[in-house]
Formats: sequence, C-alpha cells, structure tokens
Amino acid sequence: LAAGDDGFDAFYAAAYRRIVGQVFAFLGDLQEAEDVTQDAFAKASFHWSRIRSYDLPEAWVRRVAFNQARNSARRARRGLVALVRHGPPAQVPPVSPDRVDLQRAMRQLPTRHREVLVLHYVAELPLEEVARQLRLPVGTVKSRLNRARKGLAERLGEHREGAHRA
Amino acid sequence: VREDVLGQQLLEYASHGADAAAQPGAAAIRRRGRRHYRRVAALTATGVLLAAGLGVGLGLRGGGTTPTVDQPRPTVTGPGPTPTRPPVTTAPTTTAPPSSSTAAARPTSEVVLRPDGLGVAAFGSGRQQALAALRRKLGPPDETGAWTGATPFGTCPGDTRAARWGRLYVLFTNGPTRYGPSGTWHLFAYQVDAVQRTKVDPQYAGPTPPPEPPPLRGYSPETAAGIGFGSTLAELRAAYPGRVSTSYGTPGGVHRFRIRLDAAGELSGTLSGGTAAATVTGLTAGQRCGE
Repeated sequence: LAAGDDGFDAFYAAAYRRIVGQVFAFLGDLQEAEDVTQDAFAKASFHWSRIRSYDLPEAWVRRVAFNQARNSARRARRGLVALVRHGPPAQVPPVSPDRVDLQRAMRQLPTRHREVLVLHYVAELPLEEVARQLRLPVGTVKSRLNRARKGLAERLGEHREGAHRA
Repeated sequence: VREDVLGQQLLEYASHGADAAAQPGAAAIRRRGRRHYRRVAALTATGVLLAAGLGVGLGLRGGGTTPTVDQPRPTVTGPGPTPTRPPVTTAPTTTAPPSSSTAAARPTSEVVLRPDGLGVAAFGSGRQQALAALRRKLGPPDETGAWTGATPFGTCPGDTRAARWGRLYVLFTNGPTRYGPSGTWHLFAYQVDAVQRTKVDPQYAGPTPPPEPPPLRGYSPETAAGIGFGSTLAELRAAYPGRVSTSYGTPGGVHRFRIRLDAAGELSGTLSGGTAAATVTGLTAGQRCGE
C-alpha cells in the first residue's frame, strides 16, 4: 500500500490550518505554533493505523499539540529548534492595531487562562470537553474562563487607553 | 468585553495565524514522524543499555562480597530484547490497513458503532461476509428474521433480513441502497434498540396499539468514543463536541439526536428525554427504512 492511501494525507490537509490557528492563538508565536502542530501531526502519522479509527482524530492531534505547547520548559529550546528547522520567521501579513492589542493582551495572560480561552472560543469546545481535555473539574474551567475574560478585558482596556493617551 | 465579540476577535486572531502558517507536504510530516520515533527508540535502547550496564557494574561490585555467581544475571539479560525495538519504527506507514479515503469504510478489529458500518463490517459488505465477521467476534446471533415488504424496522428498499446480538440488530437487504445495487444482499443499516423489535407485527392494524415488545438486554456495542445505549446526553455532547443536535416531535413524539461526523456520515437515535441527564434509548446508522 503506497503512503498517502490510508487517509492521513486528506486528514492532514483538512485539519492542519485549524489546529495551527488554535495553537497560534495560544502561543502567540506563529513559528512555534507551526513547529508544535507539525510535531503533533508527525506523531499522528506514525500512529495513524490506530488514530484513524477514532471518531475525532483531530481531537487527538489538538490534545497532543496543546500538551506540547504547554510545556513551557520546552518552549525556550523550541524557539531555537524551530529557527534551525524552518529558518527565519515567515512574513506575517500586517495586522490591525486592535489585533496587535489582543495579541499583546493574550501573551500577558497566564498560560492556564489562555488555554481555556482558546479551547472554548477558538476550538469551540463546550466547557465539559475543555474540562475533559485538561483533566480538570468543569467548575475550575468555568472559573478560569471568567478570570481569563476579565484579565483580557482589563489588559485590552489598558492598551487602548495607552494608545489614546499617546 | 462582550462574550460574542471576544469569541469573534479570538477566532479572527487564530485564523490570521492559520492563514499565514506554512503547511509542509504530508510526505514531509510522515518523514518527521518516522524520524521522531527512531529517536525515541534509540533513546529507549540507550537508556536500557545504560541501566543494564549500571546494574552489571553494581552486581560485579557486590560480587566481591556475595559468593553467588547468579546474582548479576537478571540485569545482564535485561538489554537482550531492546535491540529488537528500533526496527518497529521502520515501516509503520506501509502496513496501514487498506483504504482509499477518509470517507471510505475502514475495517477495525472490533465491533464498533460507526457511521460507515460496524468496524468489522462496513455498509455495503456482502451479507455472508458481514455475518461471518460478526459471528467471529460475537458468536451466533440470538435471533434472525426475514421479511418482504413491511418490516418491524419500517418499509425497507427490498426483501430484508436481520440478525440480532443482544441489543444490536444488523440489517441486510437485496434492494437498491446507497451502499449496494439491487439483487445483491448487503449490509445497509444497524440499530441498537431497547426492545425486541422483531416481536412487533409489522402488519398489525388493530384499533389499539400493538402489545409492548419485551425489553432487550445483553450485548450492546458502543461508538469509538464510548457512546452506547444508556449514555447520557451530557456524555454524548462531551464525546462529540459541537456535533450533536437534538429535536423533539414527529415521527413518534420522541426526543431524538443526531451526531454529524463530516464525510463519514452520521449516527442518530432516540433519547429518554430532553435534559442533559436523558439517556440514549436507541442508536442507528446506515440507510433508514421508511416509516
């Protein structure tokens, strides 16, 4: 059986950008997001004969990618690895001031808050599924989400206020 | 920040990154997967060898004080099997099960409720072949039946036969379905049920409802996500986030659910109510027979 006939290629083509977008929103660094996402898909390709039988293989890849992204100890090293592997960062199209504010505010949030925001609002997972993925009680996820929303609103307010003053 | 506005902003932010991201070819990702596992296997083998070496060293050092010659033996035999591990990583992609696309039926080694069949037998499989695969896993069926015209499952596309294992009814027809042509007996649907549907007379036309069929118990398969008869609506939603829709009403005035699974198709069924604690009372996939 030739590689590419087992459904992985189609799955990868369809799901890659969704996952990389979610990881990018979490990490705030496109190159790192690409690296983490490609690693997760590489692992999925290796285990594909098992993962393909899951109802939602994409959930498996997302979980692996987020676990990897969350490992902050690896992140500093990963920055170097990604640079070696991919070369200098890709040209990202210019973004609006609002989006720059959002990116900055997201980066200032604690990892645990960013994670629930992205899984709930970007991956559009219900709270129960976020709790399952993070192995947390639903109540904890709810309170983290509330604090994350509040923290984000405060930071966005500060940035915009600062911009008006300037 | 309003919740809907925040969600929209985050989605736009994520899609901005997704649009700008580079996407290497699938072949490159597969190569990266193989490289990754070669590294893992090499590291594992090295770790085991180091541990074994450490064990031998400790054993030899202890040998001076302990007269038994056999003492280091368990650690010496430790690294034996590990050199055979790396070859496991060499050919994973070439041994994948046969399939041509993500939407196509992919056989599994277990009986699993899937939108494209039952894992060991996909919709469209020949009746004998499907029955043989199911018998191998489940043993002989608890009952079988055959109908022409109306059946307990509705009016099906042609002559209909069914086999039942516990709660699971497996349906075959020789009529035309989207899975097979007319004149060929093939698997076209399955149904996990609460009651012994085959005890209902499909021709019954009395002035009162027919007598209640007996409840079914015993073998009851599940989806790959662990959803089956008796799962709650909350569990269903957690297992298939964003893919479950519910409805209430005709036909039958019952609560129903539907799980959309992209190109693979869908699973649907009935619920005991409309709350999160309501349980699955029936689950079906394939081509439905008319009511």
